[in-house]
Amino acid sequence: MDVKEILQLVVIGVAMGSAYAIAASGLVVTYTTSGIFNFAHGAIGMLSSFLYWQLTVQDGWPVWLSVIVVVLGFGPAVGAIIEFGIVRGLRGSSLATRIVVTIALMVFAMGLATNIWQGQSASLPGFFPDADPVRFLDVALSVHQVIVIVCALTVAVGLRFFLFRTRVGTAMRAVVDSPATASLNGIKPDVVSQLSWAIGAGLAALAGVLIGPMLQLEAFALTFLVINAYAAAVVGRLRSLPMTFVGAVGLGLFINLVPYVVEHIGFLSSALDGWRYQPALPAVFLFIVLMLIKDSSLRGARPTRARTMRVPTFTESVLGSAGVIAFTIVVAQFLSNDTLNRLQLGFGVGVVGLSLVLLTGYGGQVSLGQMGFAGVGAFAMLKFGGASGNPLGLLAAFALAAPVGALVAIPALRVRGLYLALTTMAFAQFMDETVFRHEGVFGSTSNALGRLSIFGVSTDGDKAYLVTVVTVLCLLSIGVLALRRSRYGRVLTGMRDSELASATLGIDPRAVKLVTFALSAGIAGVGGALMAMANEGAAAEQFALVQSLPVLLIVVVGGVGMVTSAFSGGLALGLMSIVGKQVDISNLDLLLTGVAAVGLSRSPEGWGVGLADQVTRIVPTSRRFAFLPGRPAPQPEPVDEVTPADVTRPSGVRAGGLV
Amino acid sequence: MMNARRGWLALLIAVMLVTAACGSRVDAPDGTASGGGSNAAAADSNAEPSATQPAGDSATAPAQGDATPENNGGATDVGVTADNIKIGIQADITGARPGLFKTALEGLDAYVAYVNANGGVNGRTLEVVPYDTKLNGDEVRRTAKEACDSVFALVGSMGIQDSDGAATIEECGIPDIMATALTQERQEVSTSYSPLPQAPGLWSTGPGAYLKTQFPDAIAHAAMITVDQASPKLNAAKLVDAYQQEGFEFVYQGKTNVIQIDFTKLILDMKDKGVRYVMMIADNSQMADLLKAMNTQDFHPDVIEFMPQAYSQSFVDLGGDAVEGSYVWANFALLGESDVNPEMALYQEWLTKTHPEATPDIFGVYAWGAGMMFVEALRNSGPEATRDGLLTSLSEDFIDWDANGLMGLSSPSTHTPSRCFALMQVRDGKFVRVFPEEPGTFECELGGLREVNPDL
Repeated sequence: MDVKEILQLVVIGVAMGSAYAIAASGLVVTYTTSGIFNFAHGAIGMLSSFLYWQLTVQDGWPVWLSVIVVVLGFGPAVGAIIEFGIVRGLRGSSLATRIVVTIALMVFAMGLATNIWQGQSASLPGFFPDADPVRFLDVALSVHQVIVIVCALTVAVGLRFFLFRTRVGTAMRAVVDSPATASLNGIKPDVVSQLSWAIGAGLAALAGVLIGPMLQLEAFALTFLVINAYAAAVVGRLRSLPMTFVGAVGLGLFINLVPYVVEHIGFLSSALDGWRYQPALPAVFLFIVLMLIKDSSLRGARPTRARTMRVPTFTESVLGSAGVIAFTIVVAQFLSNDTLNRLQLGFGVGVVGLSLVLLTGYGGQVSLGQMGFAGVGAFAMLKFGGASGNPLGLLAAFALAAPVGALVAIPALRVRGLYLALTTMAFAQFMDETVFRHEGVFGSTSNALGRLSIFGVSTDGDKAYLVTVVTVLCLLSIGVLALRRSRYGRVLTGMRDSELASATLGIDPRAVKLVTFALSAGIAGVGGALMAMANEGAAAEQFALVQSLPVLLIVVVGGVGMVTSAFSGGLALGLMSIVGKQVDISNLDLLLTGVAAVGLSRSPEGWGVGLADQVTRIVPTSRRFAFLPGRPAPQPEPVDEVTPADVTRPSGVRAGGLV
Repeated sequence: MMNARRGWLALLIAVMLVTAACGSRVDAPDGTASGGGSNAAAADSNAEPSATQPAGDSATAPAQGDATPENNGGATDVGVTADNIKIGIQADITGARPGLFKTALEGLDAYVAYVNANGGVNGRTLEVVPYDTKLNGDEVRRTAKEACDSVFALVGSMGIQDSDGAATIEECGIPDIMATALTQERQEVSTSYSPLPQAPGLWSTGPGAYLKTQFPDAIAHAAMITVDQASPKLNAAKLVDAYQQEGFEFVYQGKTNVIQIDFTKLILDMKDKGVRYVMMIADNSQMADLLKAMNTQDFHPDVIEFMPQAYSQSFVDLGGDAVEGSYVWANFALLGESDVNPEMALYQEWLTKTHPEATPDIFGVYAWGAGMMFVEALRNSGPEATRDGLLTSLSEDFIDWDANGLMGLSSPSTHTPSRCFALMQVRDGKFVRVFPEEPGTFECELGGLREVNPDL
């Protein structure tokens, strides 16, 4: 190995890492001072890049003026508006809701940018583009790159000083810990929170102006680059800015040095030949960091406002499913093939969403990686179902995805909350960038797949296949509801509400998590298989990380603790796709997610809960299905009751979860 | 408080949606077009290509035919009536990269308007049905299905994920005259044709053969950089294979990620290996970024050669001074030579009429050429327009065809690529013809079609 070459890579890594450091710093500021991990951080930076380009390149403004307007004006204004209009309504809401709202904002911002700035053959000039570069070890760093390094250091040190040595910074941190106590000390929590978001968004804007010249000016690329910076923020435990800088530089070094090491170690080079691993290196780094850190309780964790909904009985779920299937059969007769296909895909995603009802709604475990499991299921369907649509493929989809879920759960057992969500995101990114694109998996093209053929009856026609997908969704929903009503379900929700209390009752949370992840992954695998059959082909793009984000969104918007959210979410996705085809607005589905974000901030439990309340007011539970002959009026079920049997049983929930 | 917040939110959303509706436009971007693999081997062609192929003598009169709506057979196939034929075009218009292949749609619109203004074909006017595929494989497949059931043929299509439509199109047998296929899977569909065909097992070396005569030492130190995606990697491998047969030695082959913020390592490696001739296959933005990074690292190879998708003013604008001196070749008439190429003049004239704000570019030219092929085949197949008749004409009548001088001579019927090219160099921010020197001509002798492994 060449020492000089390694040192050159270090220099390059530091330069690259500084860009990530600026992006991550704003994330840390926002989290430290509001308790919310802002997934839209990169999107704010992206919008800032575009606005800066508009002002300097298109409108000819002086650079210094454009920087001031964007970094000190636009960015903070966006942050303040988001805090006032959306974030403030999320206080006390669940982690899932808070994550989803910021994801929705991210998606909305991408849709906005692609509409306002159509076409992307534009580039941002760097600062002082004609100046001579700075040379170090034969590596030339442009003046712009040097400015990025200096800014990154300044931001890290300056913010640290601001947050820990000034009254305002201390007040910002105090509001996160306890708004009530802070207000008793004369601090106005709303004002401080707004200031926090303004600063965080201002830093995002700074990142956009600094990083924008390094990339093509394109909405998705700029937004998702910041996802790579999450690892840096995690190194700093989402609170230490100097450590965030260190983490970012570490990420830059990791990205540059790993390929060098692989190239120079024979067996590694052979083993990784043909694997597209380099784009997944940020995800690998994030995963390693998450596994190494000691997960203590996170700041911002607080009692949530989640309600426990009444769980439908077996009869109700069967009758409801029958009604949905019958309705689908009737409506399908009047729909075009194109509409049918979009609904098939929507409800296929709905099945993936159902996996989140189990994992997140009942279990309280937030996952951003369900499409990773869905892709595994699609692969299984491809191999075992193939062109003939053998239903064994669907069973294989569950059987292959479930153990993968368990495998992911093993390292994830030691993390929780936001860190767990980021772990699953790292998994999804790895699957997207490396595994699914391998020639032996999906490769570069769509692989042909036949639709289910059940006992010789083909579901190849679009009407028949829509009914099939909805039927599978209904059957799985019945199963999930049965799980919910079982002792396993009570253990699961009890653990969701308090892992500590559950442990004191003799319940092993690790075993419950493992089983839940496995079951959830299996259901997602079935969803992936159904999606692939809707497309009559499986391709890597269908299961990209970016596809996982809307899945969580649709479930949370519909009410994450209700299986109906899988139906409503699937239908909404299908309808958005249909409307998007008719309306001449680019990426309409992305824009509409912004509306979802606004709605969630007003109704964090999801619209499904509100609707259920309305239905209950009109038709009280005790009177439902009373018309059935010989059927006594059903009594409300006890909610989340942990029976003495659960307490006295030896610790652990046996595999299968139905003890 | 809640009402005030709702008011602010409503205002915010309204402002954002109104802003989105108004929009702010930039030049249409360039995508990655494989574009290569073009050249006709003398062994496969009955006529020997001339050393330089002159431009067509006059613009093609639009194919009218002799039939009228009363005697053309009426509704003879899908998408056909007595007075109208619907043709579909799949193109990435919106999606993650809005406007990517919008110019292909504009080019086809222009040609259809020209034909219709001159009476259509056999009494029928042409109607374009656009299918926006949004860089999404699902949309490609879905719109292909829709096209199978509702339009007569697909004409002028271009999409990054065009392979996802291959199985559907093969199954339904709809004629598919693409602007150009970006994936091998779509090229291999039995009903797919292109005015500048590509063959999986052949690659043109004309440009490299010329540059070899100018820089004989540099070709022994060549480098190929490609973005790490399947189609560009495949094209890069074929190009390397073909150029090696021409005498090139590739001392370095590198890959970039789709999102790449730093090229320093790649450039240092090339410097280390003594690279003097660089080729790159990626989108224009990334190629421009690489050139800028090469400038920063003070790396100036003797030759930088780009494929036709770089033939775009936006590429020059993106790269600025860093693009100066780069070579770009084209296998179609140069955009700035409409004064000596009547068909190019016609394309630009009708583009201005139908889309006054549009910019002529490579994808528009390809789509115009696809339109020409369609109309010629339609007329050849007789007044009763049928898909089978169209396909028969496509498979037989386009041997040594050059779109009336708009494109390099090729044989689309046999999927035999063109070996003709015109080479340009970027000088003072403009594309300047270098070889052959005479305006409006192509070079068709140098280099040739090299056989490459189609499954590299």
